[in-house]
Amino acid sequence: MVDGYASIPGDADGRVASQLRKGVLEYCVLALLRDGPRYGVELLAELAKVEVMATSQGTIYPLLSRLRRTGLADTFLRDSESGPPRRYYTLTDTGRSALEEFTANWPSFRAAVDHFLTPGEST
Amino acid sequence: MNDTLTHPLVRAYLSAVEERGAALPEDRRRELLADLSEHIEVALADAGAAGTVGEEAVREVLGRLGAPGDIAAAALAEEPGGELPAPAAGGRTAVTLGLVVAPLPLAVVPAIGGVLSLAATIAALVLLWKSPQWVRREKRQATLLVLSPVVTLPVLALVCSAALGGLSPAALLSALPVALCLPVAAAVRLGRSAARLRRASAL
Repeated sequence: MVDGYASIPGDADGRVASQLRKGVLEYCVLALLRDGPRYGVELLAELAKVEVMATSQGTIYPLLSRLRRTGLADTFLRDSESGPPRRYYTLTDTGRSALEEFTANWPSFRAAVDHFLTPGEST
Repeated sequence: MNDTLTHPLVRAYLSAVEERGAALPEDRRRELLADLSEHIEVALADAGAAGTVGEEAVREVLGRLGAPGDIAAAALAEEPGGELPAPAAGGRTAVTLGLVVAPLPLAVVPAIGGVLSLAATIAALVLLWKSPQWVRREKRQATLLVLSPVVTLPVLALVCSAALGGLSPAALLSALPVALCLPVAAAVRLGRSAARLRRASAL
């Protein structure tokens, strides 16, 4: 009965999108934290705004847990006016340099894929 | 603190994640459930539903979180070697569990006992490691328990011979059932885990 919570759109776009997402999702999360801490619900809502990055929100928590364990992100609790305290995620120095490295590599990576995909360019 | 987490829908959802994530290491599973519980509380508070937990709001939040199976799969994928366990045929599981227990009893067969025992041990370990229904951690534990008689049997035989006054076939025979406990424990744990996985996949 719990499976009534079917996957949201974004999962419906199938294997290709999900494979692509796998490699870049953590850097998108790190990028969302670049300008300051965000709490979990807020972070996931930002991700969900961009359709290709939208995935079942709950599947991001294992990723966030790994970022915390590997020292790329850190968390702290902050009280809120409404409801329970919010757990904020923040970028560590290691996380910031991982993001910088990805940012530096991404344009040439993107250009390389375009190169192969554009008809007449790969010959 | 409000009663968000005691809402029947939330409880059913969290226990479904717990069930599907049964193969996760204990601390990882607890952390995942804590993260999801926090998310649900905060998302409902953000939606302004903290006081009265409306069923609509709860359904909305849980729907966005996604299917419990997907979340457990994502958590398992983060584990080193944490491929998602898949249930296997009951018959094959029974054979594997039988072979896990068999080596020690087979060892008492006259003349060819040693060979039978060795063959059963190898077959048990091959079937165990090839099976998709147990994670690497479970396989490592079971392997240690299957091989444990190599150490426990001589030690127990020594203890029994001391008690019975001298190394004798009787001392060896009384050591056997005790040494069998660990392989039996391995079979019980593997069997329980396999049954849990089958139940979870049928949900």
